Amino acid sequence: MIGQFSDWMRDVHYGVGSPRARETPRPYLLAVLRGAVPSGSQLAYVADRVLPLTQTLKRASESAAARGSTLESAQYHTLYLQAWGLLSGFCASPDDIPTVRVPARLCVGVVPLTTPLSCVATRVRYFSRQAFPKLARELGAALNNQPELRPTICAALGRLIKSSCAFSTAAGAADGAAAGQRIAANRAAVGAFAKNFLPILFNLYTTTPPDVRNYLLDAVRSWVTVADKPLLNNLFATVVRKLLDAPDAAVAPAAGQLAPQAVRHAMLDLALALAPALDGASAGLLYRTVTPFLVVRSSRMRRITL
Amino acid sequence: MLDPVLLLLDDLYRTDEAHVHLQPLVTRCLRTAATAIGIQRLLEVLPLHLDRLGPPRAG
Repeated sequence: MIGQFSDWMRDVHYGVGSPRARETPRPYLLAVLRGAVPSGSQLAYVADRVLPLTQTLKRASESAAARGSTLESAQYHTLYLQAWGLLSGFCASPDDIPTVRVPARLCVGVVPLTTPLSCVATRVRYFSRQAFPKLARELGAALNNQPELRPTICAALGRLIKSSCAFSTAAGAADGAAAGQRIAANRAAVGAFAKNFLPILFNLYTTTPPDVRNYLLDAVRSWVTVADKPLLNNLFATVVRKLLDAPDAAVAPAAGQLAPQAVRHAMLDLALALAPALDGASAGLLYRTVTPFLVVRSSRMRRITL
Repeated sequence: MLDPVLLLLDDLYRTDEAHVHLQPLVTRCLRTAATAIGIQRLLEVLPLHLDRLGPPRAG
């Protein structure tokens, strides 16, 4: 019956499934698939397939622009952004966040994506070892070098951090102890990269105009929930030092830099974003640092500190 | 079993001159299929082939 239905489906629409039809480009799928990434998808797929695709599309866009084909360049650029848009879906509930210790015998050669279902567990463990570190490196580079991708990447990392702490899997609901271990492993695997991402986000936040940087502060707040306390206390000390060392408002900013007052606002925002995770000594330092700003003339500084 | 259905949906979407009213429905079907079988499997049946993308059509 099923075979007959398949035959009918092939025959009913002339040309469907023919070799020519199969090789037709399908750029529309990138937009269609956004938001349709199922729960339990693998970050490894992003690292192995989606990111190379984005690089290919970027090169195609640049190549078309070099040839003077503006429309084609814009088309490839749109596809490039749409391919990056898939990232957020993969970060919503991936099943390969934690770094798994893989036996050496499993690390010989690359496991093909056509591995039978019975070997999926092996494939997952192989990819788990590689996926997030590689992805994190690429995302860090893109955050630094691709301003137009920053909101997309920050949103995706925010979802990844949220999902890494979530008690949501069916297996987790069935077995509380196993779920607790899974959450701890996920948090540790993601949190290990806070030392890489937080400095990048701090740097971007202090160099981005105030009206378009709220997503960066949201990303900082997300990372604070999974980062190590010593790291956060060190970063907080650095932020406070820069806040107190910020030049006087009368000093003219250098080209491409924010005004001194804007730097203070940014540092105060960052200090308060770190506040929920600080230890007692750092919290005391925060209090002593913030109190003088309550009596300054700047209404924005008073508003931030209150 | 699902492959011919996906190919038919793909064909319906791409030939939008004839099936323009079907596109929202086809989009929902493709999204549902992707959620059910995974993007990796869906793209095995319907590869993107973006390297074969020609220059955009005028108009």
